Amino acid sequence: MTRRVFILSLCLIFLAFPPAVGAEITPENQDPKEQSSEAFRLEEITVIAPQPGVEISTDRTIIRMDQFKKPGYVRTLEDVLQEIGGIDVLRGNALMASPGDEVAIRGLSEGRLVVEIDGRRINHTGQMGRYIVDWSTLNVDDIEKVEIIRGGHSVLHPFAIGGVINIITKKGKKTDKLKPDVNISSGYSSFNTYFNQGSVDGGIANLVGYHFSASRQSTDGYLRNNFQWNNNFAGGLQFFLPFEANLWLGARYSKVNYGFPVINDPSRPDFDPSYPPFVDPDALRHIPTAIQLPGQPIPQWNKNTYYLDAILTVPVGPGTAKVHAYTTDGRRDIHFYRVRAGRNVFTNVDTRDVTKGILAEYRDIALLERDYCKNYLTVGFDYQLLGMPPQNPTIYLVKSPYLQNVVQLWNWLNFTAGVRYYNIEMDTYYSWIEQGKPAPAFPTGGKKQRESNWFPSFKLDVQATPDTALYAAVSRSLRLPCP
Amino acid sequence: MLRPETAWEYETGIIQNFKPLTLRGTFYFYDIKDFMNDSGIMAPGTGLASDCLYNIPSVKMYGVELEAALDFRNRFRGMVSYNYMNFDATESSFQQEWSYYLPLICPKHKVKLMGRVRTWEDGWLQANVRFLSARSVQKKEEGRLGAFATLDLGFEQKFRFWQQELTLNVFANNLTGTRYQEIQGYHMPRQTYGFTIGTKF
Repeated sequence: MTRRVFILSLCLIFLAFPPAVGAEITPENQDPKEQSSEAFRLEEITVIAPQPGVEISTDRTIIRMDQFKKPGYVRTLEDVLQEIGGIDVLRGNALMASPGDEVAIRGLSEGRLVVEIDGRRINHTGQMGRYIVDWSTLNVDDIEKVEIIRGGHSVLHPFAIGGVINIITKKGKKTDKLKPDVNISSGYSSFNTYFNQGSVDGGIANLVGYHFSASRQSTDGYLRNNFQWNNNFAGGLQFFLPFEANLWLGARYSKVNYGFPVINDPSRPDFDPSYPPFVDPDALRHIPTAIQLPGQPIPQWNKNTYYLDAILTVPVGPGTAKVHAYTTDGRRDIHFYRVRAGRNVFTNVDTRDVTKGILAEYRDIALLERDYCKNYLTVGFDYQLLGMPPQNPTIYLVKSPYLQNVVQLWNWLNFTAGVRYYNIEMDTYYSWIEQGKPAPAFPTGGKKQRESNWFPSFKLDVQATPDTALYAAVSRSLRLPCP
Repeated sequence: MLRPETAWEYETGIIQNFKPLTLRGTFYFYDIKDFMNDSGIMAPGTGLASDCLYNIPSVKMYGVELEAALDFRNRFRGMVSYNYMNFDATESSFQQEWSYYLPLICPKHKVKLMGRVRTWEDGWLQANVRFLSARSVQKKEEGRLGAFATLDLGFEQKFRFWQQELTLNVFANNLTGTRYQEIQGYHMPRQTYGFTIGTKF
């Protein structure tokens, strides 16, 4: 089966190649700043613009943050996604994005869909290798736009069963005007929920662009002890180098203090009628499953998350070379009750998750550019290392080359074919069922596993009339097999 | 041993522009093999949740997305989207006390509406409505969460003076005071009110 898929993929990809000759023209509709966008696309295609700042084409939804509008705060990625058709945002707290929230595209949540910043994934490890997204750390201060790709039909984004949410950040401007664009805002709402935010965008002497932002958001919460505050800082410098090369050096930092909701049961003597009941809720990721108790000590977590990115983009011959090195470092300091020998015991746990990676890509290689036919090739290699140091610094080691070829005929037909190969080495754990024990048992570590396979993707976009766009896609996707 | 989860994903769709009305329709079908599901259990003696991961041999997901947008620039914009999602999963004896991942906790039917009308120069009134159908919860014994609809209302006014732009927003979320939960046990507030103010220069 694997062999058949591989051969079929290669045949279709190479069938899509017309005779190749070099060309120097860059597609007009592609902004070089948007490093993580797909390769070449149809120049004119019918889109639907359902809301201010939102455009949906046959292959993606684009949300431009400076135009997006909704009643209420637009402070985190969740605030935006909640308004997009086809996306489910299931929250534990309506007032702020919380660590345990779930976001799903077509019923498949963060365990399958991929969240990226500038094209690199930020789903991180946690709980011995389950990969997760902490939505509370994703504020919109430095976001230029959000791309949502439904389904796993792009080989440029790995492990995307369900879809991709790609955050494109602001990167300053190439300008000789010294005055920056300054943006300041504040808000206040029920339950003592407020935010303050400021950002500057600008450039210096056409040599360096910059973007910096800072914000704080806080709420008392609706449920008992469900307080939260976030501090966020983001920024970076873009260097405009000779030969139209660009170097972006960016950093983001998020600190979240989140109070776990505590039991508020009308049948208990410690019931507080000023809060709604909170009894036996569904378990959320990140949230302790044992009952949390009111009063001192306070069940809560502090999380510090650091994102560092360096992106070098250089036009080379008929295409553009890009190297993106990145790291995400999350540190959680959790204070919570757990059950020991039938009693609630207050515990402190520190955990750390680190993701490192390099994404190397030679994209949009113009193999042919004629009036009737255009052909662009993208090749790349993903290297990702996900772990929980110091206990287990390498839970997953991913090596994944990929190739995508786009052929456009007569400006109204696009055929995209691609294939991605995964080689994944894992050091996870045996769950109870894998241990062969009759009764439930806690997982044990040391499970070594290696997986590799080919995954093809095909897509056809047709601008059938000036007002009608049609598309069809079929692809095979892989979920990072955790754990 | 857990096997890796793979999926064949099929999708087709159309976007049709009737100016000023635009329509979008999409049908998708996912054939997922070895769907990795996570049943939570309490490991004896630890009080910690244990991850009871196992493969469901086959999960088939399918759905329809329909969207209509009306755009009278500078006067009115409207949107309605309807999403249907369903799945078939083979039975597994490993299902335990609750389930994290199965798409049971997402609604089968979902409707979102948005209307944005210009009331006067630089003044916009916007209403967003969201409807989610009844859905399952993680813990079987807790039954189902009921369907709900919420209405959010906001008003935005821009002021311009010199080279500065000032934007004032006031809003009321869940204006009808619907009692609802998106995740079982986590009650959402009834009406919440607020304002934002921002400037660009």
